[in-house]
Amino acid sequence: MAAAEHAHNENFLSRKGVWEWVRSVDHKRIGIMYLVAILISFVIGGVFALLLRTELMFPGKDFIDANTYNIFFTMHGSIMIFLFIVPGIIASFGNIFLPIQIGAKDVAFPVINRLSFQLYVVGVIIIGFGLLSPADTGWTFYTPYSAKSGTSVISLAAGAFVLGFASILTGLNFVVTVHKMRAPGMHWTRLPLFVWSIYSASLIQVIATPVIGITLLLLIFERIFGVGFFNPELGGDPVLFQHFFWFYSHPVVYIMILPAMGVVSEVLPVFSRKPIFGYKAIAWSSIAIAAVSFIVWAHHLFTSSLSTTVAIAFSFLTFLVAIPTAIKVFNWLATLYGGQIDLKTPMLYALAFVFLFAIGGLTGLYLGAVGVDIPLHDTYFVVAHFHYTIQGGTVISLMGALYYWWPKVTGRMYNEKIGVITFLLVFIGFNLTFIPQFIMGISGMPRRYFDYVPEFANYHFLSTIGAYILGIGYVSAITNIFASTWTGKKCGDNPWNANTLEWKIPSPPPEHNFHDIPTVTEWPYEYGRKAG
Amino acid sequence: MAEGKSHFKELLLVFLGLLVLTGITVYVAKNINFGSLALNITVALAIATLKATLVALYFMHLKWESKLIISFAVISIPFLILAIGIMVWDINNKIGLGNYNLQ
Amino acid sequence: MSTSTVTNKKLHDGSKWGNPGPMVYDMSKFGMWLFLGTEILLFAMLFTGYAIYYMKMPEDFHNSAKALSTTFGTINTIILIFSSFTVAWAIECIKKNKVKMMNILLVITILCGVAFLVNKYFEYAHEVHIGNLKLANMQWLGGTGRAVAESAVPSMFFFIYFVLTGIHGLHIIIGLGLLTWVLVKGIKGHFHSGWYTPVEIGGLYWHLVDLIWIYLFPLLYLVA
Repeated sequence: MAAAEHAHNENFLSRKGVWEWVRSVDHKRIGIMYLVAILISFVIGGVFALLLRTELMFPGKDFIDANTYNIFFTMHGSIMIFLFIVPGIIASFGNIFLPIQIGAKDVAFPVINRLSFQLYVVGVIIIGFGLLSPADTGWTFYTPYSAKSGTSVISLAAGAFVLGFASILTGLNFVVTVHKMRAPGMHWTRLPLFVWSIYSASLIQVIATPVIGITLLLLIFERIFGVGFFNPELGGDPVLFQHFFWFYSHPVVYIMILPAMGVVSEVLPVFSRKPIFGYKAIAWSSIAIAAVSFIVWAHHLFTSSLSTTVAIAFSFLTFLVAIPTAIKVFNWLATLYGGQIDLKTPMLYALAFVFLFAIGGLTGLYLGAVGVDIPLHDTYFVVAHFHYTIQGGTVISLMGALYYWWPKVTGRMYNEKIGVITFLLVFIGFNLTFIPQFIMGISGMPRRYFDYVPEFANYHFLSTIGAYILGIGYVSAITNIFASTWTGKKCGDNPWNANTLEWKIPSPPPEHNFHDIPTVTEWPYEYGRKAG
Repeated sequence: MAEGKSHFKELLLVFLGLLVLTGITVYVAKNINFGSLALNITVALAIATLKATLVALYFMHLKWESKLIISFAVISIPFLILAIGIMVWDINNKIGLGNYNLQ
Repeated sequence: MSTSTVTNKKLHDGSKWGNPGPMVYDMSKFGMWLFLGTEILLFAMLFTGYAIYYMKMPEDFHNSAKALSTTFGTINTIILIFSSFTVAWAIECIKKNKVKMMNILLVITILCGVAFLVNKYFEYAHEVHIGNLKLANMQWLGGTGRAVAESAVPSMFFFIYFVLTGIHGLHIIIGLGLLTWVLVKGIKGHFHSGWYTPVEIGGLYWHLVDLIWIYLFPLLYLVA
C-alpha cells in the first residue's frame, strides 16, 4: 500500500465531509451513524416518557387529554423499541467493535451492512410520515383495535417492517462474520464474550424477525383490503395475532439484553483486574438464552384466553430462562470476588447493570408464574419489571459501553468526575422512578391509564420526580461523553489496560483496523496474572 | 470452489423424479380417498416434503455442502414446527372456549 | 482455483474488500442460506395460520378449494420445477466454463418465470370472474380499516390463498430481477469456472421459490 508511511496518522475518521459518511461501507462509520441515530431516538422517546410522567404527576387531567396520552405512550413505546433498543448495542457497538475483536478488517458483507443502515433510515422516514396522524394502538398493535383505529397504524407497521429488514441484515452479517472471518488462532474459546453475546443475539434476529415482518404485513392487508385474518367478525382469531406478535417480540427482548450482558462481561474483568470467572459458562449461557427465548412467548397471553394446559406449560418454560441468566450473574459476582476493583464510570454502570438487572429478572419470575400473573397482568408491576430489565439492563449497559469504548473511538478521555456524578443521577433517578411503580402495580394500578385514584397520588408524584432526575442524568451523561470528542485529553491506545484486540490497535482505529491480520495465541482475559 | 465432478446426471434424474411425484400427488388427490380429510392432506404433504428434500439436496447442492451450511440451512425447520405445533395445540385445546362466533 | 485457464484480460476473480474470491463464495453461500432460512420462517407463519384455520373449519377449506383450477396449479408446478432444473444445470455449465450454455439456460429459466406469472395472471383473472376474490372479502379500504363482510359467507381459505400466492408471486418477481442481473453479468463475461458466486446465489433464491411452491400446491389446490 502506498499510504503505508502515513499509516499511523491516518485513521478511519480522517476523511471529512457528509458524503464520506453516507457512502462509507466502513463498519466503524456505520456503527457510529447507528449510535448517533439510536441516541437521538432515545432522547425523543425519552421526551415522550417525560410528557407522560408529567401528565401522571397529579390525578386528573393536567395538560394533555386521554387521546393524546394514548398517542404519546404509543410513540414512547414504538420509538424506544423499534428505533432505539432493537438496533441498540448490536448495531452500534456491535458494528464498531465486533470485527475488530475477532481480528477482521470489516464485516463479511460491507455493502449489505450499509444497506442495513439505509433501510433503518427509510424505516424512520416511513414512521415519521405517520406522525401526521399518530397511531394510538400501543407499540404492540393488538388486533382487533389496530385493524379499526382511525389513526395511521399502517405507516407505523410498515416502518417497523422495514426496520425489521435492517435488523435481519445486520444479524445475518454478524453470524457470517463470526463464522468465517475470525483471525488465525481466534478459536471459539478465545472469542471475547461480547462477540459471543452479539452472535447469539444475531441468531435471534435472523430467526425471529421474519415472523414480525409477516405479522405486520397481514395487519396492513387487513387495513387495506379488509380481509379478516385476525378479525373475529370475518372468522379470524385476534388471539392468533398475539401469538404471532410475541413469537417475535419475546425473543426480541433477548436481542436487547444479550449484547448488554456482553458489554458487562467485558467491563467487569477489566476493572477488577481478574480473569473472567466461568468463561465457557457465560459463553454457552448466551446461546442457551437464545434457544430458550423461543419457547416462552405464550406467557404474554396468560390472560388472553390461552388454554390452561398451554399456560401451565409456558409458565414452567419461562422459569427456564432464569437458569442461564443466573449462571451469568453468579459468574460475574465470582469475577468481582477478590479483584482490585477500580470504580471508574464504565465499571459503575456495569455494577449497576448487575444490580438492576437482577431485580428486573427476579420480578420477571413473579410474572412468569401463571397464578401470580393473572392479578399482576397489565399493571404498573409489569411496567416496572420491563423497565428494570430493558432500561436498567440494556440502557445502563449502553451507557457503560459508551464510557468504556468512546475513548477508543476518539482517542480522547472523558471527564471522570462528571461521569461519576451523572451516573449517580441516573442510578438514583431510575430507582426513584420505578420502585414506586412496583408498589403501585401490586396495589392494582393498571398500566396505560391516563388517570388514577387519589391513593396512588404520592407514588406517581415520586415516580415523576425520579423521571426528571433520570432525564437530566442521561442527557448530561451523553453530553459529557460526546463533549470529550473535542475537549477530552488524549488518552493513548489503551487507557483501561484491557486485553481484547481493539485495544491493541491505535486510537482512533485505522481505516482497515489491522495493518496485518493478527495471530491470536491466548484468550483475552489474562488480567492480573502477568505484569502490566 | 469448482468441485470438478459434474452432477448433471443426478440433476436430470431428480427433475424426472419430481415430475413423477407431481403426477402421483395430483392423481392421488383426485382419485384416492384415504378416509378422512386430515389423512388426505397428510399424504399430500408427505409427498411435498419428499419433493422439497430432493430439491434441497440436489438442486440446491445441500448434499455436497459443509456441515456448517447444512446445519444453518435446516435451522428454521425446528422453529417452523414449534410455531405450528404450539399454536395449533393451544387453539385445539380451547375449541369451544375460544370460538369467537359473533352470530 | 487456477487462473491459468482464464485468458480474459479483465479477470473477475470475485475478490472483494481484500477477501479472496473463494472466501467470498463461501461467505455469500452461507449468508444466502441464512437468508433463505428467514424466508422460510416468513412463510412459516402463513402456514401456521393455514393449519389453525384448517383445523377450525376443515369443511370450508375443502369446499372452497374446489373452486380452484387444478390444471392451472399443475401447469405452474411443472413450469417451476423445470425452471429450477435449468438453473441448477446452468451452474453445472459454468463450473465447466460453458458460458454460452449457461446464458441460454438462464434465459430459459427467466422465460419460465415469466410464463408462471402470465399463467398466474390468467388464473387470478379467472378467480375474479367467478367471484373467489369476493369470497376472500378483498375490498379496497385504503388503510382505514373497518372491514365489512362483502359476501354473505366470507371464506378464510381464499384470503389465505390470495395472500400466499401473492407473496409467492412477489418472490418470483424478485427472483426474476436477480436472475436477469446475473444474466447481464453472464453476457458481459464476468463468470468462469473460478468465479460464479452470483449465479449460485441467484440459483439458490430461485430454488427457494420453487420449494415454497411445492408446499403451496398441495395445500391450496389439492385439499379439495
